[in-house]
Amino acid sequence: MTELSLAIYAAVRIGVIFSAVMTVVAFLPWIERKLIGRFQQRFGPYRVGPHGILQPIADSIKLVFKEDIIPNNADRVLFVLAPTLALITAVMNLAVIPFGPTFELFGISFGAVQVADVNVGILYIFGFASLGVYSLFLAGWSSGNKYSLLGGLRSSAQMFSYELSLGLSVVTVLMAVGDFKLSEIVLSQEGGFWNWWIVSPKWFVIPGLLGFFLLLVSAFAETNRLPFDLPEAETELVAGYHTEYSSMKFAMFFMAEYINMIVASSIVTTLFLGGWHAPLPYEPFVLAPGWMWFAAKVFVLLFLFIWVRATLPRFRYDQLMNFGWKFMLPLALFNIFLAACCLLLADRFAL
Amino acid sequence: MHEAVFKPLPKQAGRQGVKVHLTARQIKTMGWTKSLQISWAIVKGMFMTWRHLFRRPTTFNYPNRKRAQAPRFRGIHRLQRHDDGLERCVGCGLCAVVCPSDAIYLEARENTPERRVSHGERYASLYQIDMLRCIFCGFCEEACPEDAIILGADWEAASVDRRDFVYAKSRLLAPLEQKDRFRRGMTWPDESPETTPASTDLPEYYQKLQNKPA
Repeated sequence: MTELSLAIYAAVRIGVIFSAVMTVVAFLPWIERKLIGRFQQRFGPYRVGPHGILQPIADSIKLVFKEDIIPNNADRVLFVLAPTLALITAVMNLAVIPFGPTFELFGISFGAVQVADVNVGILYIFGFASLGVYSLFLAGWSSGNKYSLLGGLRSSAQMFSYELSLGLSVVTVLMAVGDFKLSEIVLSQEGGFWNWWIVSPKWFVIPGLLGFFLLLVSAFAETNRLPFDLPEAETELVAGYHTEYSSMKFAMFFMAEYINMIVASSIVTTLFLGGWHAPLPYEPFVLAPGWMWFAAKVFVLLFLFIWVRATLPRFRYDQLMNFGWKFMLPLALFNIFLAACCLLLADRFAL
Repeated sequence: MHEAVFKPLPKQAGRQGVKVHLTARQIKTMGWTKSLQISWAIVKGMFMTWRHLFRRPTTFNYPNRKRAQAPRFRGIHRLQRHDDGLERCVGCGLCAVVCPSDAIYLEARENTPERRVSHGERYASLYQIDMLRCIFCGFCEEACPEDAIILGADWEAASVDRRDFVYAKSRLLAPLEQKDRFRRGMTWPDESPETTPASTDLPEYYQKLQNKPA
């Protein structure tokens, strides 16, 4: 295969994955508003198109045509840089996620549904997730608004705290697989849901369940979703770090938040829920293409995000910090110890 | 003069709920049972919202469907007509007098044989209600000796121009062909006396109202 065809194949993969994810991102707010409405026994958006399905289009037209305000005492360079950084870091994370095993278009196989199978995939994602914190902090700092600043401070403190437990909860899976490559992690969970790391007997179930819980909670905190949405706590901070943002700059933060939700769900799916593998390795289940199973699992997790948002109130700041440092972190460390013991035992008895 | 007596609140009966507001110190000393209790509370809450997901929405899809009003709902005023099409209002001005927010303005004019508008001597040549002042108390319809002004069932009075809220007679008067001139669920005392209940049939509080010294 020549280098040119490789480049073309990569371009096609990028185009397909990007447009597919952006379509989901466009309709995710509608799905969320609809579901939140139902959870609260309302209808949710109903006016634009049947059942409000065209609401995302109406919203995007509105956002594009709104006045783009930059406050007088804002730091103009950083003010523009922050939403850009938010969107870029969110989109970059999509590059390494293995959406499916094979990808065919017009009879031509383009390889895996994954832009780049980086051999440090999980580190890459953590790297860009950490970079994403800067966008929120810079937005808060550069707005020249006390609410934005408080939101930015909170977001950086929160995300640094929860990145620890996020990283440590992933370490368990990395110990079991022995590879950073996300495609390898998916392949290690082949053959039925009992081989997924969440309930895998290879380490006697418990570390998997615990790790899944830790990763999920940390993912909620990393994406600034309720009950961890302190950076934009409407009731206290107007809108937190994006108080001063309007028009497309606000839309970029908005898109970044939803892409981050998808990325977080994808990571949980990849690490603990078997990636694109079917839940049962038998005939009717394996016929569906891998990306469908992946999408189904991601949507279940996205539903969980929305469900939790409909249920739980926001943490107070000290509760959040206590929970992160005094509960999640020790639990994650203990889980690594537990996983190591389980893996050693399993190795000893050759399970 | 009353002296304030503070009684301790009665202790809440039944099971005590899980305490949600925790101080840092409480979390530090919190045992595993307490955190399990909180986790269980979260699980219970999740299933609470799950049940609500499948319930019918309590809201209406408003412009397409409107909520039914109570029979005695007080909405936008309607000036009524007699069966022969003449206006009930005789321009006495009692409604304007009784109006607590001074929202009604009317000017009366004599009926002439050539131009008869109402059955009485006079009619309202000008009748305006400022809907931004009106508090929809219904005093005007109570004061009206002719049952000419009735607070109807309409309530959608939104506008983007303040001037639109001063309703002229053309907007208040019932159309000629409108037959159900009265508020839903009520009868005309003067036109069908047999359908109106005798004062002894009325509920007790109405009797009290009627026997009240002036």
